[in-house]
Amino acid sequence: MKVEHVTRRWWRFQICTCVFAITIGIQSGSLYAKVSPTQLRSIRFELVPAYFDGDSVKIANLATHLIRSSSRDDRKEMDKLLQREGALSLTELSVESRLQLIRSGFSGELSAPTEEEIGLLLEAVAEEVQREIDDVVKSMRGENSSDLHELEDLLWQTHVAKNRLSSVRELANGGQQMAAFKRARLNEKDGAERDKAKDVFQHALVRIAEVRQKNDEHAILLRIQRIAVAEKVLQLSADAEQRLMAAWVGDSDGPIVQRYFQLIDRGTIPRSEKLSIPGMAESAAANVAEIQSIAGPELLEKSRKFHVGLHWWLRGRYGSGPHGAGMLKDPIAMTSGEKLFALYMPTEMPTPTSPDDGDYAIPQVDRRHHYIWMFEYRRLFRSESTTRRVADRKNIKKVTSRTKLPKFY
Amino acid sequence: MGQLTPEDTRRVLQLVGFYEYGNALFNFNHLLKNSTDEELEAMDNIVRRRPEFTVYTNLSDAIQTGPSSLSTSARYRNESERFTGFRGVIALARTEFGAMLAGFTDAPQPFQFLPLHPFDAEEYQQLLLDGARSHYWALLKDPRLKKVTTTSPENPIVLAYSRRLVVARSMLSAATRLGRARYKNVQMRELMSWKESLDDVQHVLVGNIQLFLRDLSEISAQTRTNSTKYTDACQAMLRAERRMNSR
Repeated sequence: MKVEHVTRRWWRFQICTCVFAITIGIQSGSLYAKVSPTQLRSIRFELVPAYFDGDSVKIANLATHLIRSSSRDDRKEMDKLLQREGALSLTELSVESRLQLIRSGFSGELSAPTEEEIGLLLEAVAEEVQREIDDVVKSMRGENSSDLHELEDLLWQTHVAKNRLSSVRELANGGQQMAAFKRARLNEKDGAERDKAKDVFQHALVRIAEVRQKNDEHAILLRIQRIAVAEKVLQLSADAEQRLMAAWVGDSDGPIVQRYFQLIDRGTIPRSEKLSIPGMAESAAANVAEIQSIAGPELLEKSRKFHVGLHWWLRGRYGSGPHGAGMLKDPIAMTSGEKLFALYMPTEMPTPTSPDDGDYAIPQVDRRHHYIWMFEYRRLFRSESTTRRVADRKNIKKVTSRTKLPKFY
Repeated sequence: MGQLTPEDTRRVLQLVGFYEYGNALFNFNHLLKNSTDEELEAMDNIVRRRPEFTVYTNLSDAIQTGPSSLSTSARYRNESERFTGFRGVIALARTEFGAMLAGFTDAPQPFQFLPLHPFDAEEYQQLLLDGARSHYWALLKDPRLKKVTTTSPENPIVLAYSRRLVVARSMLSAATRLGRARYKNVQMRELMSWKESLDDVQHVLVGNIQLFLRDLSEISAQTRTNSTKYTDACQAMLRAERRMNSR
């Protein structure tokens, strides 16, 4: 083949390739014709990475900025782009990130949401509050027992219910605040919607207080029962396991029961029928004194160290800090006792699963020493449970997905 | 806890788990010293009933990429895949606490900071070896490691990897020392060869960090600027390395 012939074919090939590339480029560009280059860059290089990193603050701010600077039609194309990148739609991102921040008690600054975002968020929060209260009520079965192990389990359930009610109360408070946000500037229709939402949260808060009162009362009755059982165990049983558990009851239940009856006497807590039996408080106090007397200082101390040690261990195992994908506490922890202690703990006690479960293993970080060395590198990626919702006011569906935690190897 | 200087504790306190496992071990140490065998078994039984205290083991099996005399035999794998009692709880606390001491302080014997006890010795040895194996195999297949050895320590990734090597080598050293009586010759040779490989990499990284700090101190002297948190962290890491070499 002559050189000249090869050269012509080569050039023909190059021209065809360029035309092909330009055609594809034009088609790609036309897919998102309503999205400006700045918005495109923001979505691809900031919003989507923030989504996979679980950076709720960044997601909320970016999503609000994009919603504010685009029309509904423009947003349809943005949503298509986001879907292609494996993320949620713009409004879903806004709602979910803000919801996550409310749940975690975030008090920093965020971009002010649009009225549309506020409306969707209020609906999402109200739905979650209602669902959570119903779930907690269902879980409260009011059972009792005369076995120390079973009583431990039942008390744990009341503890979990109490934590869940605290969390949902924070959520309802957040909802109320949001409903009041710039209320005076709204038109009549939007204002009425906000007032309706505020009432919903107010009713929810009243219901939460009632359920909490019922839960607390049941917990106290279980503790009184446990004190009585523990005293019998220490009097009659030589079993080391039972005696160790019984000795702890005096420490753990005695002060709590005493304090509860003091609050009833002061009128801070209403006295219910179940807690109105004459001499109930005095009898419980006498049982506690008996427990401490029979157990003796040595057994009491061992029991304390055992249970307190296990409690610290659980915090080390399942606790999560505000930085470094949960691996780090606030830097102030280095000099502040309060921040040193503060951790996010799961509301329900986790049951570990096999690490072979990969991204869904519990705990997700089975060994902290696998990751702590990354501290300086600051590339600890976060895996977070995100909840997908269909942004439709009538039919709200919920699908849970998780972002992946890169392995350390 | 009294052996750590205020400077050490400040840095390491930021790690979730350090304060918590430390407090747990403080309480467990008292129990190990003062409880009878019957009482310790009673505690073990109480913990066994609670699934939240389960600790899965042999995590390194999933990371291992080549043959090794230190692998968990298939025969024993199912028996030893998890700990469900008080022994495993204490052993995990020691392992995690020790790793944090190793990586972020110059505590002289990070994995023997609290006295060892026969009650959890077997489980502790197993977790240390598993941890050392995890770090070794992970480093072996880490695609970034080679590049890190030629990266300027101005990039924090160099400090991070150096810290990783301190943790890995400390854990390997502890696993070797505490399990010496039970290893076969072929296993000891493998552990020694791992030590040499990791020492070689660390030698390069430490050399780079030392040069970096020397250049920085020359500039600081000329411009009269103070040290930064990052240079403090580099110095702390070098102290941790000197601790390792002094043993």
